[in-house]
Amino acid sequence: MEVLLGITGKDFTLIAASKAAMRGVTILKATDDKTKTLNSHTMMAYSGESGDTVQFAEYIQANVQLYGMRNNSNWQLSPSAVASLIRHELARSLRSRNPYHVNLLVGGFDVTENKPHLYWLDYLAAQASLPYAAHGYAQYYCLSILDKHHHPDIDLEKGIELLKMCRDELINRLPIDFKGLLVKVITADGIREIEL
Amino acid sequence: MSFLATPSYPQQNVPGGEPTQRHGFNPYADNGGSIIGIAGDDFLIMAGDTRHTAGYNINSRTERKVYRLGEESSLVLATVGFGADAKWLADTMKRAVDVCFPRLSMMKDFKFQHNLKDMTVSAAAQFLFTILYGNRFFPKYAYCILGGLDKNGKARLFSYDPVGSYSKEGERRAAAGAASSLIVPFLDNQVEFKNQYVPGTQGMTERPVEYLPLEKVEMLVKDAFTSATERHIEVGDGLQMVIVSAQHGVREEIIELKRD
Amino acid sequence: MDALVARYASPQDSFYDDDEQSILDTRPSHDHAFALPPIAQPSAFLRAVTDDHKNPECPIKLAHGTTTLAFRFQGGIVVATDSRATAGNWIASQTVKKVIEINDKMLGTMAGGAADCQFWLNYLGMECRLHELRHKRRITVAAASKILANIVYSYKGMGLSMGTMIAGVTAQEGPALYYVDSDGTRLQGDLFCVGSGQTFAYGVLDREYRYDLTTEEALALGSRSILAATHRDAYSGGSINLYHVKEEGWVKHGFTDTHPVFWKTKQEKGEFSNVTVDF
Repeated sequence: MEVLLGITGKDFTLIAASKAAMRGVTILKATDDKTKTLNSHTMMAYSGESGDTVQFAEYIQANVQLYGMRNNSNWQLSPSAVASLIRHELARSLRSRNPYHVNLLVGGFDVTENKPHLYWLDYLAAQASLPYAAHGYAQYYCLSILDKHHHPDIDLEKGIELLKMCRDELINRLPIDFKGLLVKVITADGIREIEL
Repeated sequence: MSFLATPSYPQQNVPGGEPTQRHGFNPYADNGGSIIGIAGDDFLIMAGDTRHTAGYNINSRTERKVYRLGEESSLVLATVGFGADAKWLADTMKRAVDVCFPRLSMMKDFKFQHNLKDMTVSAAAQFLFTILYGNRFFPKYAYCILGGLDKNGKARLFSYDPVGSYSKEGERRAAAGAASSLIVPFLDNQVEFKNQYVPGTQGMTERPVEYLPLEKVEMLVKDAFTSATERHIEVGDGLQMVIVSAQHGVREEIIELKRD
Repeated sequence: MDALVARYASPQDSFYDDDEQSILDTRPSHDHAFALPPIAQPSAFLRAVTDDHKNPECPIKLAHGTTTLAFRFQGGIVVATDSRATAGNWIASQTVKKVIEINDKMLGTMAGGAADCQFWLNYLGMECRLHELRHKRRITVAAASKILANIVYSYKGMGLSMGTMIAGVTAQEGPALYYVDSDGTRLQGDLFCVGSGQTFAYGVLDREYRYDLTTEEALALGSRSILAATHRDAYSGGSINLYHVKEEGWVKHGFTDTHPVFWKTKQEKGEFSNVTVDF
């Protein structure tokens, strides 16, 4: 019952992930961070097989940062390039003996073309660029809400309001407490955490 | 509720161990074939092919699937699925509708219980529902289409799932059986005019649905079956059509289909 | 038990006069005498041939997959459904009437086995009429739903499949809504969505639901929630079947094809921004 949500707006991308780390019937941690910052304007949230998730995320993070260092630290991969890189790694992994079972949302803000980006990727290496996206049970409850209330040109305030709608619905209907959402926003200024 | 089927089977007790279906009780077979019903304003055509199959074997090329339920009645039943269940349903319906038919258990006959009044189409439709649902826990594996003319000579058509669900409003067209997935989309387009638009309206105005003339419906039925015969191995040999018309009574026609 | 009752019951104390008592004595038996297969466990047999969840190769495919919803509000109850029937991936029908008119004051919704819902809600209609004749007043929704729950519970494990909502407005209860399913669950509540598209409908409905919705708002919300489900759930679709239940009885508010409604909603309100025409 891990929750991943992503929303883009006029000048931002919001990424939210549930804070509960669950193993079987136990919540091991209520302040888990299922996100990783990849570079100054790109981040991802992940869910899936425990162990795989963090291993894969750290591997991706390291490689994206390595790219930045090799290119003088001022030439970073764009969000779309990061998404493509991740998709490639997932596709490669899928055909290996021990594939990663990780689902992701990649959010970013492209500073050259001044546009927010959101990519949905699953462990089968399917990729889609979307205005809003979700993984897991959140799809079943939140996509219909976002179908109704989302517009491409919303501001951050409205984006946060949408996230609150989604969170409230999930708290209402999901049978397990997911311990709230950790929310991060990516704008032209970079990545920062938001208290929902 | 006395007309619901009563259990007449002895309960088998499996000695020792948990009572599971050890020898895989499977009283069903799929004998292939397809049926169609199309209703016009004051007529309807019920049709079915005459092939009877078991797996890749053809058992018969002349087995009918469309049954008139009475000599004097406009009611017609078409059934496909498991041949034995289909026939049982047809016999049960015949016995209920037509007293002249095999004089068995007459006290249960509808006519005797209802002052020798003929069964209306809507009553027959509800009756078939109770027959099918009476076998809810041991379903008759047969898909039924029931058609007939109402008191005002209007055509009515009903189609059922194996446990009886049907629409009381009736429908304009129905198809069931092996090739239903080939025939239904064809009838959607040609009878209900689905996805047809009035020319010159940029696809904004749907073509209005209208009752088709008998000749047109006959052509559609033949086209549906010749096409299904081309593409489905369980359909072919013969096309049995029963045409019920308020003006011209009931007529049956059998046309050759490809026999390969 | 009967012997005990006979010992302590005195005929003079009968609540009913003789005429009424004789009517009560001739009430029909509830024994349906269903045909059963000649094996030790009929229910296991039935599951093997009809349950397409565990056994996708089963010979008899029953219609499944649905979105239905009903909610209570100040002006009565809104009941809305889609109209698609599926058997596996095959769309068996796009014009199913999933709202069953139990009588002119009460509605039931249909999810699960179509025949199960049709038969037992039809039977419930008969029981409700008999209640009226016996007691000279309309049955409450609470009682009606309990009759249904008790019936399906008596068949538990036999493979009945239904998830239904019973909606009605009575003088005693006001607008009353009950959820009854074939497990035997019976719940009273303000708002229910049932079926494969339930979560999508809940998403939209929960966000804007209030008890003091106007009738127009309530009908629009019911309709929009079904649209949301038909958009995201492939097993739901066809048309939106909309009803409003009031104390005077229920009113039908159309059987509307979702296709034009979707494009109208998208164009006029700018919703579904996810859907683009360019591929």
